Amino acid sequence: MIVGAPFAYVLRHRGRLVRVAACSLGVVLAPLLTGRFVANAVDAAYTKALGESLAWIVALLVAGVVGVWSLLRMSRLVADIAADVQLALTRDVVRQSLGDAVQTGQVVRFGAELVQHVPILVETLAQMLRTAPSGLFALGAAVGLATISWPLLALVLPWLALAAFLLVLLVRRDTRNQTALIYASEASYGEMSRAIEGVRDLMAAGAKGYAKARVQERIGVMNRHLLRQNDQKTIGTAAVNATATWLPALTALGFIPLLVRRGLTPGEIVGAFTYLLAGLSAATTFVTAMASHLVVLRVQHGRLQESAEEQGAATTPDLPSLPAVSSPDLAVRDLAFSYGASATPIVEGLHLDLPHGDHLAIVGSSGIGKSSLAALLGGVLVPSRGAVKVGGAGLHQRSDRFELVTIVPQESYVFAGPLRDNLTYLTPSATDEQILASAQAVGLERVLERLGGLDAEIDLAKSGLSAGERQLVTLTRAHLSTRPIVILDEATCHLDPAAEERAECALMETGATLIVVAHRMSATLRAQRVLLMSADGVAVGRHEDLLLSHPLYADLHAFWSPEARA
Amino acid sequence: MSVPRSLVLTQANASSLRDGSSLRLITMDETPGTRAVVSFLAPHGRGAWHWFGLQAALDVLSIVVSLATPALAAVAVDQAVEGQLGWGFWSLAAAMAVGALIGAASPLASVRFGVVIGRRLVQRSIAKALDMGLPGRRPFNDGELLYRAGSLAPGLPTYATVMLRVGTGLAVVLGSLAALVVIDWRFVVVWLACVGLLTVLAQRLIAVLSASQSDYDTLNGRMVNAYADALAGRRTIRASGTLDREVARVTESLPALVATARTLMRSLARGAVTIASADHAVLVATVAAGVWLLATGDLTAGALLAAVRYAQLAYSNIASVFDNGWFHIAMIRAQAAKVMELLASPPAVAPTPEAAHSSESARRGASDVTFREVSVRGDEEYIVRDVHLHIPSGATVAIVGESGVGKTTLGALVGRLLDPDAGEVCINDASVAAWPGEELAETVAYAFETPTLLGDTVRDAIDLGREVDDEQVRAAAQSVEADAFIQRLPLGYQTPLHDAPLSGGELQRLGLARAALGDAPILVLDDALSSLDVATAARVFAALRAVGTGRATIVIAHRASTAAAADAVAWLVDGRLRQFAPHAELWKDPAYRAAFAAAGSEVSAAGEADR
Repeated sequence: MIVGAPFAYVLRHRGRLVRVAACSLGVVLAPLLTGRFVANAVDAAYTKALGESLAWIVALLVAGVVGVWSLLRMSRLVADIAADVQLALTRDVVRQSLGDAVQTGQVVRFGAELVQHVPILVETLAQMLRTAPSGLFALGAAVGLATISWPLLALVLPWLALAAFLLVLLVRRDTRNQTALIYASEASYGEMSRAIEGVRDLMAAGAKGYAKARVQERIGVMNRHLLRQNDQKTIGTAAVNATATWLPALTALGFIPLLVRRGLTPGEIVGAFTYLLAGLSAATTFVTAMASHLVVLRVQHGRLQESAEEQGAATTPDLPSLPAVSSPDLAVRDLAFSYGASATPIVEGLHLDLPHGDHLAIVGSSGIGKSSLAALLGGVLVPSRGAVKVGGAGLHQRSDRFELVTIVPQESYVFAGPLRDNLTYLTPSATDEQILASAQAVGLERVLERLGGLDAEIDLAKSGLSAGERQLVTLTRAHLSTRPIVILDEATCHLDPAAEERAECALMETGATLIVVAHRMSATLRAQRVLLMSADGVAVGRHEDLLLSHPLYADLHAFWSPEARA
Repeated sequence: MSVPRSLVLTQANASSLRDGSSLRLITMDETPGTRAVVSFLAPHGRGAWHWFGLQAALDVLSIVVSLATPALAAVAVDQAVEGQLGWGFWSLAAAMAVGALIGAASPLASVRFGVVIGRRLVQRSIAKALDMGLPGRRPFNDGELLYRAGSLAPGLPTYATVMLRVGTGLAVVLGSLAALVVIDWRFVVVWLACVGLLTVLAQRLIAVLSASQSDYDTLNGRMVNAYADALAGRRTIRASGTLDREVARVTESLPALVATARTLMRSLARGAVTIASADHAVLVATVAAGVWLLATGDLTAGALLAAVRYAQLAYSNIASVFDNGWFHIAMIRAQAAKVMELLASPPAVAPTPEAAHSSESARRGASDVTFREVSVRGDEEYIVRDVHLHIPSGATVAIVGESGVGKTTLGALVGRLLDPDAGEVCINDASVAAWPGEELAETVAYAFETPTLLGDTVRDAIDLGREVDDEQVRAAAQSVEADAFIQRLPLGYQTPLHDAPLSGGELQRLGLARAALGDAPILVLDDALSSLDVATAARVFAALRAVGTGRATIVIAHRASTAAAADAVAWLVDGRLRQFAPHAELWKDPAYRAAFAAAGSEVSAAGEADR
């Protein structure tokens, strides 16, 4: 189970649920006694016994006060339960969604589950608790009716049974329809999203009309689903309402003359009608509300489950602890990797030794797989074949790999909070002196100064940091981490060449093995060795050697000259 | 009564979180008036007015039925007390049946009306969004555009329904009060006293509610933003093994959030209790008054029942108008304002004047391209400044310069992906601004470094709605050496795009095939060969240039070899044309050579890092 069934979250609060039930009794008490009290008051009035009549009205008032007080109590309890359910459910969903995104690298859910699915689920569960008294009331009204005249109740019951049956059919059908509608609306939304994102290509190809036609078609499909769902639900609800209210009411009314002849008093007729109309309308409220709540619950929970399943259950196996490594040398052995069987391999049979303190630059055109190789070297991706070994064991199988490797990706992860927390992300125990030393080495000191020190709050919504400054923060974090292997995956792309060089050199001076997915060719000049990825395969060598041996490398370095063409 | 209403408002907005942008809530200030909204929506209702008419008619009928039912019930009860099943019973039966039918038919009519208007609004909004020009130069980001066009626009027709509902509700209130007057005017006095009590009680609630609502929105926004940040930083989190800490950070404000939600729900519950108590007060007061009148002989049992029903009917309708009706109207007006703002934005590329069209001769045959003193402004400074450049038919010109120097912008001007702020671009001496859009698109083809593939299948992505036959699609793919890998895909050309694992080079070749299809006389290659190996790139480049005799090719290049293969190089520095000469000639200048080294393997999609 991805996220436990919604009812399970409510059922954890058994004590409160019992109290909700108790309060519900109080809530239904007032309307339940209403019919009887009104009947008595009217009958007393007919016999001119005004004092007695007044007494019944006071009783009516008291019952109302009890009811209102119970309603208030119950609402508070429901609010408490709903709040706790929201807390637990949100926490579980965040853990699940974020975990999936981190494991697979894919983001399938973008927060809709937090602002949409969870609140709707919680609200629906709360609504169901709040609706419970209507159900109780309907039952109570039936009992009240029976106290006035049991034949009236007997006449009504078969209709209610039929209504319940129709309701079950309605819930099942509407769940199906709404699920289909959600798919259709996601498809149409997705088509709009792709058109908006791909507008450059649409303009260039004169294909805006094509995109619009596709959007229109998807909206057409969605509207057909919408009409179908709406029509069936409307007609179904009308059928349930008819069998639950006006058909039983008319049946009862039709038999009243008969009952009057058998001695039903005018007061009892008024009372019976109060029960019948109010009770049946409560029953309808209960039934239709429950119907739509159940559908919402099933549909929303289904969506939560499903989008989690789409991502595949990514789990981290428990890794055996291995002896600490004395010398963190990287040994790449026959490394092969591809994203799926039919995809072109990113690397194939790579052998490479990176002794501790080595400095490698990876270059190649975009989309060739540089980041994937960096992830393989960092033990984040699992190789299709071969291994990246440290201390004789595959890096991705080492439980201590987070202590061995720091990877700084192109997207700088800076979170809202104090600057200090951002910098000590990987080394929570770092002292201020150490932090400031790293900041000084990497080149963050001007940012520190501008923000006003380590205690400055970073507020991303107010865009406190530029893209380059964010990269400096993550580079300082890596410098401070003192992991023996540091991998920069285009982590300096927003810095100018001088700032890039300063940050890279600072990291080199820590003595760590430095692997740089280069953003600028100038990075290759600082590296001891260069790894070139191209459609022809992987080539590793010293800068000078590659210049001579590899035409693409020379080309990228602009050492290609017109004379060399001949 | 429901939990935080803002949730309803923010739901549809979830997609905007893709941009990592903060949660946006609809603010209700400066909303257009009823007349503005109605006159905005009305033209979209063409062909659906009969549904609206039907709904309005049903609503009027429902007013009559609601008002008649208690009176008929009174007659029926009085007749029943007499021991007979008279016309009162049968009329009541008929009224209830009609009421049920109306209840069923009304939503059927309103949804049909809404679907028609909604579809037109979405179509207009999407068309407008696509006319706003290139991403990055648009006044709204992707998420905001999608939110307004896809989520807000289709919901606007509800305005009509809500207005009708409010109107119906008020009519029922007035009608019920009138009925009370007819039964006995003293009932109205009792009713007004009870409702007055409610108003006093309700006032106190509003302040509490709006305060906690705003707290809730702030905390919720904080959590969702932290979540979006963590999603964007998923690679770092994965590489650092810090998932647990991230979950803790994202949910850090959750207890406070939930506490606010509880306060909010409790306040809302007090609102519900207020309404319930007033409802009961109305009942007790009406019964008390009724019993008194009954005792004095002014009233029958049936009339008492009717009075109670009318009093409750009037009360429940006024409560729902004030509780829901006004709120919905204000909300939809605020949403309408957003859609209206979108639709009022000017297009990025001015539409071609109706009368203007280039002469047939200008469009046929060899094509040459002239940039006449063109300038393009960015947010702060010029991206392209006073560039004058002539590319004769059949020539290949490379545009070269450091990253961010305006190469892509210059290329975008030819096919009007963007209009210059000054100067003009001409093809065969006719300004591109005067070319009909479709013909311009057929004349100028583009291939990009990272093409966006659209459509369902690989074939769709190449064809892109031009509906040419399979042979032509295949020929285009062959010309850019894409046919072989497409054939290897699970379903060949029919492989769904989302099932096709494409490498960077394969993606580029699909983009090139799309550009090759149609043999456009002018071709712009915006770094479109960068992920191909050197030999393939050279062959594809040669094949693309060779098409026809007069094809003008503009190639934006980072590699020196590409520049060398061009007839001439336009070397840009800071948006200005530094020099226009053959590569071999420019190569002597160290600054020119440096431009390549600096550009190097620059990732042009670096902007993604900011998302």
